[in-house]
Parts: sequence; structure tokens; C-alpha cells
Amino acid sequence: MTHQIQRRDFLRLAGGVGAAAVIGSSLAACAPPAQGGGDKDALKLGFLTSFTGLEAVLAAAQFQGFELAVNQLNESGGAGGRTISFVKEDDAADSKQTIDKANKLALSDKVNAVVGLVASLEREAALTVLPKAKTPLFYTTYYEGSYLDAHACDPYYVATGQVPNQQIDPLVPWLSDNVGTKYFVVGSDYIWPRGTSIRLKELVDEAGGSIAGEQYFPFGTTDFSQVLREIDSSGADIAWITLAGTDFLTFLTQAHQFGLKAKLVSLGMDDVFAHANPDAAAGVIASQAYFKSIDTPANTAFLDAYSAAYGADAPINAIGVAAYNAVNLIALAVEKADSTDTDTWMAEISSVEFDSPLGKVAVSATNQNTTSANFIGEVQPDGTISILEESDAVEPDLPGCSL
Amino acid sequence: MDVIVSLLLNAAFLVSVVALVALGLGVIYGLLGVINMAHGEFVALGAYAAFLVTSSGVPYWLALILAPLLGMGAGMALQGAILSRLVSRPLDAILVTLGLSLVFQQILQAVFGAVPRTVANPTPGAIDILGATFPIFRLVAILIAVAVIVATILFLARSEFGIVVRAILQNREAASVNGVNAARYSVWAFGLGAALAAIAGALIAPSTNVIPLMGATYLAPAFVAVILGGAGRPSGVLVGVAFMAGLEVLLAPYIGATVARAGVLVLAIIAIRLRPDGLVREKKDRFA
Repeated sequence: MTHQIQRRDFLRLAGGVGAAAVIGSSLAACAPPAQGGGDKDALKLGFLTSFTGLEAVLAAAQFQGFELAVNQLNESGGAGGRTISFVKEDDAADSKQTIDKANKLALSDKVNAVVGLVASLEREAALTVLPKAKTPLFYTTYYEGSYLDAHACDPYYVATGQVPNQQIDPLVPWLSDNVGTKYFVVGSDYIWPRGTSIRLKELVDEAGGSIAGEQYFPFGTTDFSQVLREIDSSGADIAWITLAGTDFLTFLTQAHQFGLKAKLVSLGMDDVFAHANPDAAAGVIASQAYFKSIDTPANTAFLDAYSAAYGADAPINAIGVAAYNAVNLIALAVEKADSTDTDTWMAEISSVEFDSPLGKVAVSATNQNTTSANFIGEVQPDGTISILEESDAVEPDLPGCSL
Repeated sequence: MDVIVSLLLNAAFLVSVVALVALGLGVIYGLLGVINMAHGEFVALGAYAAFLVTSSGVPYWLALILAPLLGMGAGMALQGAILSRLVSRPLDAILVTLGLSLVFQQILQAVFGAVPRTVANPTPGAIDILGATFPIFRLVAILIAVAVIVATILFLARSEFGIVVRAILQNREAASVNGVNAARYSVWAFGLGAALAAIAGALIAPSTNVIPLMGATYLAPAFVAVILGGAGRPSGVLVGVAFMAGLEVLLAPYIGATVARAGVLVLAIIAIRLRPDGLVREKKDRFA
């Protein structure tokens, strides 16, 4: 009666587990296709995001922006008379799961388009399967554009989030004037932080500044104490943070605990993160296409509808507004083409214009990204973001992309 | 100078938290022969206990009592109800705990949601130690963790409970022939291991975010530390933890965090290959 594990037993066990995994996943793939999607008069959308996992903190606002648009459109007759229905799936910010769910939405649920995704790795994964399935992807999160050969140029791909020339170009000169020119870069180790750093470096060089340090961390890093110390001892004016999701929140908590002296600046900061932890987020500089505190009649009307649906306290960010815009753009294109045939309505996507909470939004025919203005803001101790600078709308620039 | 002090303090914090987890895992493995793949979820349970306490307005320190109680309860239930039936089937026990870990994660997610939760820092502010700025709470956490570890080791070495449990490990039948209720002691030992993990979770919570999957971050280094330490002996476990957590903290600034994390695991594999019985040679007791 020993507790030793024999090698033979272990190999048997491993073989059994492996066989079970293979059988299990092939059974799952054989699931019968969902009902619907064959009705010519309805528009069926797929919503895919990280409801669990690294980017879970951003999922609710993104989904609510999407859902609000769907509900509003259906109340006023749908997309040119077509009712909009949707299927939502969770990709857990994982490449494999994104591919599986994207395939399910495109091939099994037969949706007309997929909207959503947060982290760039989800987009890269989804774009390996959705164009093949001729299902357009509407990506709603700000990202790195075409830097580092990102997969961002495809007839079946539309982005309603900002790219670097819209989000970073206005920010660096403002920082030079108001904070400093010595940067320390801390990011998660994947394409978005590394890609945006390339544009950052170009702009910092132009401004005559310097980058004192650059460190990238794997997902799920729970301790940033070492890099916090290095930022302080480098004497950097600005801590440029492109950490993703939960890791960003962890960093903010620890920077607050350690009393970081450098000014925190992040492309990822928005009303959702500020709401998640106002103490830790206070003082952080943000650069986004949208803040809740924007004072225009269009935004007030939008926020009235949003808080009626989800509560006055519910945060909304640029990602959520971009999802709202994406649904409306799809509906306008389908209405104009008077067809749910993908190639027919996608041909109209760059000729329609939508009155978004921030003014007119249109898709560029060159690269199928959208025009966007930019706002620079600072998080206040109560979690709201006060706007410090506003820049006019600019066309998205994706070097090397011409559709 | 402040670089070294800062490095050592940060390493001390990580090492002491992982040591608590590894000690708990080691107690369970060393004394019961069970590799508990659900151990990380006891850590998460402790962290969520801290979240419940602080979000209800109760002072954080109560979490240090609630967490181990919850952990102990969950651990004892797990051992008593399920693992006690798998005493001579360690492979099955691994599978069962692996399955249970998935179930626990989903339960935590269903109850608390997938969105990260924050536990307010009970002692905000940082102090200057030999030129290095260090959060006060981390200092407090190190002291609490060390106290708990020392108390546990002494308890296992000196108390009647510890002696009996070690007897059970050496020879279960002989122990029961001598009147020991092996099943009941196993339940308490498992509860102890789980309680240690839960305290670690409560201690780490204010410095990070509480998410349902957080246990995995602490299970992996604890697991390797226990294997490196050899046969679940407490001193070996601590050496293993120092190796895993300490080496990663010390290497990361020089070779990048991603490479350091992978590199330490590779080194651990090499170490286990060279010393299969663990880094710490076990003293051979002489009975004659």
C-alpha cells in the first residue's frame, strides 16, 4: 500500500486525459447549428468579447453600448425595417477561444457581422477565421493600427476605435508642454503595447525627449514593485502605461501604494477603469475619443438613454461608444443596400454617415477605420475625468493599408 | 544600496506569501500524499473573504480570521467527503482535485462575477527603509506571514497532532493499529493546509486584484517549490519557494519579466532532474 506513482500508471493517466480532451472537443464541434440566421428579413449580429479573463473589466460597458444601439434601432423599426437580433459569446481574451467562438458565430450561428473584441490578440485571432468565412468584423477598441504588421487591413474588417495617429499624436506634444519629455514605458507583452511604443518613440524623438526605460510584462503579472522602483530612480517625468485589463488595475493599485512620483499616463485609462478604482486612478492622464464628461447635447441625450437602461452609475467609455457606433453604421449600410447579403451591404459601409454621441462618424474607404477626434483628460479623486484638451477629428492613418 | 534593499524587500514579500501557499500544499502532499490541484482556489477563497469583509465596512483585520476559517472548512469538507475515499489512489485524487478546482473557479465567478474586485489597503502609505520606499502594508504582511509560517512549523514538529500525522504518513496501517484514527487526522491536516492558503490569499488581496482565476498564479510556483523541496518537508518547501519566487524577482530586472518567468521554470526542471529527491537532502534517521 504505497503512495508512489508508477511511471506506467502516469503514462496511462496522461494518455487517458489526452484522449478524453480530443473526444470532448470534437463532440463539442459537432454541436447542431443554431436556429435562425436563414431569415432574409432579419439582421443577426454576433457580439464577442472578454466577458471573463484579462479584459473582463471592459466587457460590460462594451456590451451595453452594443445592446443599447440594437434596442434603440429595433424600437424605431430596425435596420431599414429589419429586426436586429444578436448572439453573444465569451472569448476570455484568449486566442484559441476567440477563434473557436468566432467560428461558431460565423459558421454555426451564421451571423451577418461580428462586433466587439478588446485586446489586439483577440482581433488577430478572429481575423484568421472571419474573413475566410466572409463574415465582417467590427472591432471597437483603440489599437496599434498597422504597426508591427498587425492584421488590420482587410475588406472584411472595420475598426471604429482609434489608431495611434488619432490617440497618441495629440498626446505627446501636450505632455511636452504640460508634464515633461522623459518617459518610462511599462506595457503588457503583446502587440498593442509594443506597436504603440513605436509611434511613441517617433513622437518623443521629434519632441527632443527620451525614453529612460521600456519593460514588458506577461499577462497575469501580480507584482510590479521592481519596475515601480526603477521608474522612480530613472527620474522619468512620465510613466507611460500600456498594461492591459486586470494587470493595469494591479499596477495602478501598487503605484498608489508605493507612492510613484512620475506622472501616470495611459492610453488605456477611461471612465471604466476610473470607476473601478477611483483612489488608484486619481491623477492619471488619459487620451480617448470619448469621456463621459463631454458636454454636448448629443452626449447628454446618449447618456440619458444609457443611464435609463443601465443605471446612472454605469460607466461608459470610448470602446462602448465605438460599439454603439458600429451597430449603427452596420444598420445604415444594410438599410442603404436594402440587403443583408454581406458583399452588398459591406460595399456601402464607407458611404454612410452616423450622428454619434460625438458628432458625425464615417468609415474611411482607404483603410475602413473611422475618423476620430481626441480628448485629453485627468482622472479626479471622485472617479470622473476632467477634460484638459480637445483636438479636431482626423482621418485614420494606417501606413501600408490601401483597400 | 537602495536598489538591493528594494530588491530584497520585494522578494521577501513575494517569498513569504508563496511560502504560505507552498507550506499549505506541502502539508497536504507531505502528510497525506495528495497533490491538491485545487489549492489555488483556497487562496482565491481567502482573497474573496477579504473582499467580503472590507466591502461590508468591517475592518480588514477580521479577514485574517475569516479567511482561514473558511479555508479550513472548505478543506476539511473536501478531504472528508471526497478525498478520503481515494486514499490509495493518488492519480485519481489529482484528477478529482483538478476537476474541483474548475468547479470552484466557476462558483467564485458565479457568485462574485468575472470583473476584478478591489480590497482597500488597511495601512496606506509607504515608509523609507535604508533609502528604499516600501508600502507599510507589505511590511505588515511579511511579518504576519512569517509569524504564521513559524507557528505552523513548530506546531507540526512539536505538537502531538504533528507527531501523529507524521506517523500516519510513515505507515498508515501501523498508525491505525496503534489506535490512531487516520481518517480524522487527515481531515484536520487538509484543513490546516487549506487555511494557510486562505491566509495567503487574504494577505495578497490589498496589493492586487481579486479575480476568480487568481489561484493559478500561486499554485504553479508553490507546486514546483514543493517538488523542489522534496517530499513535502517544511524546510525543503521554504528552500523551494526561495528558489522559485526569489530567483524570478532577482532575475526579472535583468532579463525581462517574461523570460525570467520561463527561465526559472526551466531551471526548476533541471534542478529536479539533477536532484529528484529534492534540493534539501533528507536526514536519514537511525532507528537502531
